[in-house]
Order: sequence, then C-alpha cells, then structure tokens
Amino acid sequence: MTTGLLLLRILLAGLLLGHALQKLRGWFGGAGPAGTGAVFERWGFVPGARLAVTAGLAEIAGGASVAAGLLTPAGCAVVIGTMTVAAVATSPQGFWAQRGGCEVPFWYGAVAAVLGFTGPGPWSLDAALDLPWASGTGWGAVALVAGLLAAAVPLTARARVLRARRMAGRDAKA
Amino acid sequence: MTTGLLLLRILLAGLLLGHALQKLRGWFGGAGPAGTSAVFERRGFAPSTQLATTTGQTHTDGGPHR
Repeated sequence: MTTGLLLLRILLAGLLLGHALQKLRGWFGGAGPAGTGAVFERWGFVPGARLAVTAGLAEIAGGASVAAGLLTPAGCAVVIGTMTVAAVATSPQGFWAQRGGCEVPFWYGAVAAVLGFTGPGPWSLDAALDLPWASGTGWGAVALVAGLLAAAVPLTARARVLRARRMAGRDAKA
Repeated sequence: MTTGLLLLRILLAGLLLGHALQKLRGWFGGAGPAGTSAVFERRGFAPSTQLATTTGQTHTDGGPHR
C-alpha cells in the first residue's frame, strides 16, 4: 500500500513535469511557450503564451506537492483544476485518446482526485508532519470541488472569448 | 484510503473496458477487430485479428470482473 501510493504519486508527478517542460522549455517534442501559446489562443485562452506558462507552472507546482506528499489536497486540487481546463479544451475531439480527445487529461485529473481520497500514504511529508489531511477520504472531495471551481475561472474567460469571436464572425459575414 | 482505491480500480477498469470495446466491437470510434488488426499487423503482431481480439478480451477480463 505504502509503496503503491508513493509510486502512483511519483508517476503522476513525473508525467506532469514532462508536460510542463514541453510547454515551458519546448523539451520532449513540446512547442515551448510561443508554440503552445498559439494553440492556447486558438482554443480561446488569451493571452496564449502567458496562460501556457501558467499551465506549465501549475503542473509543476501540483506535481511537486503530489510527489512530496506535502499539502496533498491542495496539490491535487491544482492538478484537477489544470486537467479540467485541458479536458474541456480537448473535448471537441471526443473522449478517447486515439483522436486527441480528453482521455489523457481526464486520467491525470482522475488520478489526482484518487490521491486526494487515498491520502499520500505513510511515505509523505503530510504524514511525517502529522497533518490532518494525510488520511485522505473527505479531503478528496475538498480537492475535487476546489479544483473544479478553480477551473471555472479560465473556462469562463474562454467562453467569453469564444462568444466574441462567434459574434465577430457573424458580423463579418453580414 | 478505502474510497480512493475503489475509485482508482473502477476508473482504470472503465477506461480499459472502453479500449476493449473499441477493438472488439468498433464502439467509441474504435476500428473493430478488422481495423485494429491492420494496425497490429503493421506493428509486427501476427496473426493480428486473433491478437486484437485477445488483447480486447484481456482488457475486459482484467477489468470489471476482477
């Protein structure tokens, strides 16, 4: 159990770190802030480059918290929030990964929610410091709600951008 | 802990079931045994149709019934 939870945390954090470095540094075949920013702009996240950096930093911060098992519910909430935004952005391609759907962000966010419910396990700073959320359970629900609420902020701004674009498109046609 | 592990198992099983049904039935935008077998063949897995079916069945057997 102890080993498994540590492994799950490190795996999730490692994958998030990889995705963050794709955005922030262009490593591992990533597009870097400018290229990722262009994709973000197309999706309606404006200004794209700055929000791409924000997404990368959120992935690193959430991943670091999860890996260390420090403030685990907060780290899980950051990951859930970031992955919710990513899942909504990729959902026009459907759910499944083979067509670029939202399966991957859904899975990362779901594992973060799971870690909120399990707690980080005994091999974690939360447990070492005897912090109350080390045992998980109800804190998973807190992380889930906090993450979803946080995701609503960029998603609302994006909806406004997409609506303005639709209206501009209609005006151009008329 | 208990809730989290149950959730993890159900999530993993659900996603595996979806991928199995893509291979076995062509659901959810999947290619079914014939289409998947073409991909398998290209990757060097032969006989591909049988292996695509086996893989799909392993997905389902390892998933929800455990």
